[in-house]
Amino acid sequence: MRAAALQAMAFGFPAIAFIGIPILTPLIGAKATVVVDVAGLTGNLVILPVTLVLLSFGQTLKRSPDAGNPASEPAPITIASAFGDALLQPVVPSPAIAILLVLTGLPMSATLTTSLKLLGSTVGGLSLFASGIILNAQSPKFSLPASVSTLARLILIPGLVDVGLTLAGADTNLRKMSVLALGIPAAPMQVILATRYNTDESENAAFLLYIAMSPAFRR
Amino acid sequence: MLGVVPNSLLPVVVTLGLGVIAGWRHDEDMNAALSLNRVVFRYALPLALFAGTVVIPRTELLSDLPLLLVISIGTFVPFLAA
Repeated sequence: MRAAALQAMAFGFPAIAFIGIPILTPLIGAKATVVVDVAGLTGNLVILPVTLVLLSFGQTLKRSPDAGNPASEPAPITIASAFGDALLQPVVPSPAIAILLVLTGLPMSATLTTSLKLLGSTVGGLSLFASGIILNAQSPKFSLPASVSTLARLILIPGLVDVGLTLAGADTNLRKMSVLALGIPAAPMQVILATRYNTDESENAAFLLYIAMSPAFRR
Repeated sequence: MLGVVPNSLLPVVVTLGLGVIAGWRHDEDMNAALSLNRVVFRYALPLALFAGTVVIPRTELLSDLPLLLVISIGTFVPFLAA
């Protein structure tokens, strides 16, 4: 279950929060910030919590003495605790609280926001550097699932969205922003989660390597 | 236009490469990587998400609902399909 959750995350979670601004700003201008925020919110409010619940649930099942018995049903308290574990991770409530603050119109001190950004701005560098260490330690080899995920993430998903929006008669601006946002490579997040939950570290490192190398060949 | 892709993605490759070199030179090991990941996951990422979201003007957040819908479908449907 944990491996499947990570594979699904590789399909659905672009690294837009990590590298979205530098890639999209030269292409669509100031609107890039909005695209990054919108895509980041979707990933962090939907994909990440669901993945965390699946990972926590998978871990709880693995710990359970009845885990090998297909006839045994997980106790409701186990599912509840998996949800609780996932939803209590700071990464889940923090954007939700921020959205509530924006919608309620409560003023936010610029000094406080800048103070929070100092550590927040290290996300991309720290996670990629740590992923490099993991990449070296895991020695990734050719992996068919990682290859499929890479092709789907970079070509198939943005292509299908473009076709769908064209058929639906969407305006060019919406098509352009959607395709660019969804064509961003996958996040190092699944490598972070793979090591955190001890699941398929090597395969996820291989996926990150393919993604990192692929821009040279795709445009 | 040709310079956009290398300019924006080279930092990713360089940072990833420096991590590989740090591991290869035994300057850092898996424990260090796990510790860094813990810092990112528990502290840096929540702060980045909060600080990045709270500064979006409300009108801008509400006016981009079609984009939010398309991107939500474009990320959640592949997630469910996988």
